[in-house]
Amino acid sequence: MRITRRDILGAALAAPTVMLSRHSSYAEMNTARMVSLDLLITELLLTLGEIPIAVANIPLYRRLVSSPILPQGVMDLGPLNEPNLEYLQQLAPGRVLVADWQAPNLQSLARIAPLMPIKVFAGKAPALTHCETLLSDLGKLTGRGARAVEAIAATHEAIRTARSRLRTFSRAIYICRFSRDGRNIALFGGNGMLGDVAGRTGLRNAFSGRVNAAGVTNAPLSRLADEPDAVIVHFDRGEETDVALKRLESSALWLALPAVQKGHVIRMPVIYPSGGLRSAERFADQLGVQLAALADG
Amino acid sequence: MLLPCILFGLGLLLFVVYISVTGQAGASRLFEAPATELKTVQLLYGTLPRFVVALVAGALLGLSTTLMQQGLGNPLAEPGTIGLLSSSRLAVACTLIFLPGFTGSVAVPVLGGSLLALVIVLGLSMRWGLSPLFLILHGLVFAMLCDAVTSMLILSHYDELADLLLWQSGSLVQDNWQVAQTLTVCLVALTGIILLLKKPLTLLDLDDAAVASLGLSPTAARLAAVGLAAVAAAVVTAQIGLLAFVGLAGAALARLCGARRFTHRMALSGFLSAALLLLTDQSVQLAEGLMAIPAGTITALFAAPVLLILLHSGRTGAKKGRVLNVNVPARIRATPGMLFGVFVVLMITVILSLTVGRTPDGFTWTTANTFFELLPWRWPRAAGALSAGGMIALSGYLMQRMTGNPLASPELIGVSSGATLVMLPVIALLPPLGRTQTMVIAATGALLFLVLALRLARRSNYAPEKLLLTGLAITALSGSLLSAAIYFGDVRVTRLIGWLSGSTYAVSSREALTSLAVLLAVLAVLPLTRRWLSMLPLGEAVATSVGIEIKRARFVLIVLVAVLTGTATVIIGPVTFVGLVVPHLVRLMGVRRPLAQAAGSMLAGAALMTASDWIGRIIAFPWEVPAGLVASVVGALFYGLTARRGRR
Repeated sequence: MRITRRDILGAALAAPTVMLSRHSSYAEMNTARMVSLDLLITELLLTLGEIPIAVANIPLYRRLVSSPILPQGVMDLGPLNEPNLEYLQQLAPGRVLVADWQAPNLQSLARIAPLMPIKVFAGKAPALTHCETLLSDLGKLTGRGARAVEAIAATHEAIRTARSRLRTFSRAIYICRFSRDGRNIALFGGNGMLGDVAGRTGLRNAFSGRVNAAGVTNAPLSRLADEPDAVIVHFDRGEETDVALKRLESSALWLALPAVQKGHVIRMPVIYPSGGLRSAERFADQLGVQLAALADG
Repeated sequence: MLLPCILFGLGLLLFVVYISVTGQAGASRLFEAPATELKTVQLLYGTLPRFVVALVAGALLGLSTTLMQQGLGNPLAEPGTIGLLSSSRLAVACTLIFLPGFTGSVAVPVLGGSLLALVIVLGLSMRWGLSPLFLILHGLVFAMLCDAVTSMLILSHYDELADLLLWQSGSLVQDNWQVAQTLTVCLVALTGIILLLKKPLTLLDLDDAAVASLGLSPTAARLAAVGLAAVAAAVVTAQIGLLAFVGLAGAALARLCGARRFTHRMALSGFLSAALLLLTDQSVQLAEGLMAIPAGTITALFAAPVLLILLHSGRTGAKKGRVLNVNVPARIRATPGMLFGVFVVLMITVILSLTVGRTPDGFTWTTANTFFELLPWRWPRAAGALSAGGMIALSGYLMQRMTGNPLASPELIGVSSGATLVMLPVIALLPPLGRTQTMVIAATGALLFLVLALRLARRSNYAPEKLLLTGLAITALSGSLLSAAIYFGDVRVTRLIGWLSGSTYAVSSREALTSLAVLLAVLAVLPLTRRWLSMLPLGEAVATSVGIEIKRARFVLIVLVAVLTGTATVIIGPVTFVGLVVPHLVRLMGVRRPLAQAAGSMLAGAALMTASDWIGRIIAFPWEVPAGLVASVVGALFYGLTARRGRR
């Protein structure tokens, strides 16, 4: 794993909280006392260096988003949809940030602290543009505007680097995740974060069908035969992917795909498909490094 | 025979269109071309086996469902009724979460889960001579227990269960001939066995005494029917995934088409299910370029309308189902004492849920100071759970009393499904709405479907058989849209699953008061229906002969059920378990008279939901488990205890 400046900053910020006791003092030092109930909002807050006092579903964040690192000492409020209210009231948050789709269920939270619904799904706009707006807004809200500008610049820089590395790469790509059964896949595209970043690095997505709000759809394996020459980029979800690949090795259709015969199948660390700028930056880096090897092939 | 031919013809037409559109028909030089050319491979290993699998799997499910209905003597029964599918679903979910590196196929957990369900449900029902009523009850309770745990796993491990969501959506996509071969062998074997056992299976049409007098053990015949059905369904599920409603639609259509004799019904439902699945799958295959939809999710979209049209076209020859003996022979207890006991339990749970909470430091009794600080959080939830639990249990009791069918749950009136149908696009597509707006929309949906159900059933004097089948079709329709939404959805579907699980989380004080008021209002008019409730289960003839105006009685009861279910659903979501099982539980405890049973169901439902809400709030801190899920688990355990003791 590459350690970036941002990781070190995050760790430095986290250090005092790890040393202090688990409950009390950390929350007291934190003046803004933010609470986030959505993964993307948590990621964006951490990108800004604003550490919330509590977030919903910490294990899910660590598994799906993982970077920026969520410091120890942040409290877990439980499920995204139904955070523990009595506990939240005890923590006395300064402001609660929720995704707009969560808001209707959480009206009663307004009795505890000002509730701020944030439109997390980009809708028609490209996901990255939408995230940049969100980050700037959050930067203003937390008084960390400079950090927001920095983070946006870093992401653009990563995309530029990847783009120049991939100048000679002419093929289209499929971005997918294999299901365990070896017959179905999840395809990423459209305006979702992954599709958007791939487009910005100058790559053409071979899949142009409909995707859901998170930029993903399920499809049978045979979709990959629609554009047989495209390179297949797939996400590594550990054992799940091992099982899928093993199953695929005995699939006639898989073996008949030109991309497979030429070895144009690329496995890369998984990126949270509804992630923010940090996820986008990581994805651009990975695309640049791993696809450049195939540029002339 | 016309209907299956039409459906099959349409399916075949779509198949031909598909292979010519995708250029696979060009690969007709099948045997000259090398087997590595892409189009040839797609046709040979994808499209062709998929065609065969749709037909064979459909036929197997049709046969299996008819067998199950024959064995249980209930036109609402299907393989899932004895808990088979829910338990395999749970097994698959557990495998995915706890054994992520498991390399075997999904067939292993599915068959394991099915076997477990069979052993448990058959084992428990053995002591009752495999009576259909107990097979159904045990199966349902077990199924709902499994489903509750699975829902909880989906809510907490949403991201790891993508494969479960895929499997349960029932995709027929194939990449070799293995599945087609296995299923064909099974179909041939099943057909052979059915032909061999034709006599005993047919005799199950009679009641047990008649069967026994012909020298056949009804238990053995029933065991054969249920066992065969279970094996067939388990094999299909293991090879493909959950294909909801395929078999049920085939069996119901076969009855409606006028098939009476067992063999006739068997053959027709097999053909119909096969043709339906083929038609569905070929349609989704054509649309695949735009959007891949698994056949399992939308079979109901094709089948439910056909069923509804046939059901109400007037030419129905549906045989009247056997009236099941709803009264369980058991010891009779002093009813007032029983009711008082349940009431005391209810009071205790209310006090617990208002005073005991949990923080990171452990369980806490509220002191006088904090009590009033925490009360605004706690009392609306407790009141919402109490009134919703009471309403759903009461409406479940009314529904079972009115239809004489122990499988009738209040949802089958179509009200909650209507609310769900309307809620789906609201949650999934529209920009987020406030809770009040959402509730108004759900209530409108419920009302709309009530009017529809009433209109459809009016011509037949609100006959229970038609009402239940109509409700079944509407429920399948909403279930189908629901699984499509879950299949396509993003993280927002967890909110949908939360609502479906029966969550009291967002109940406001105003809603809690409203639902209490509705419950009290219905309780006030309930005594007026006493005579109806005691006579209706005896059948139409008896009830008419003692001077009951059947049509009016049923109409009033339907409206009562709808008001209760609708209110409860809108406030905390559908809670199937309470509606279906609590009335049986009360009867098993020995409460027999109609009004006492109504009161008992109401109190027990209220106590169960209040307790579940409290348990769900504190058991997995800081996680909150939806009350409806806890109710299924707690209720199932309690049911187990009661059913064991009932026989003494």
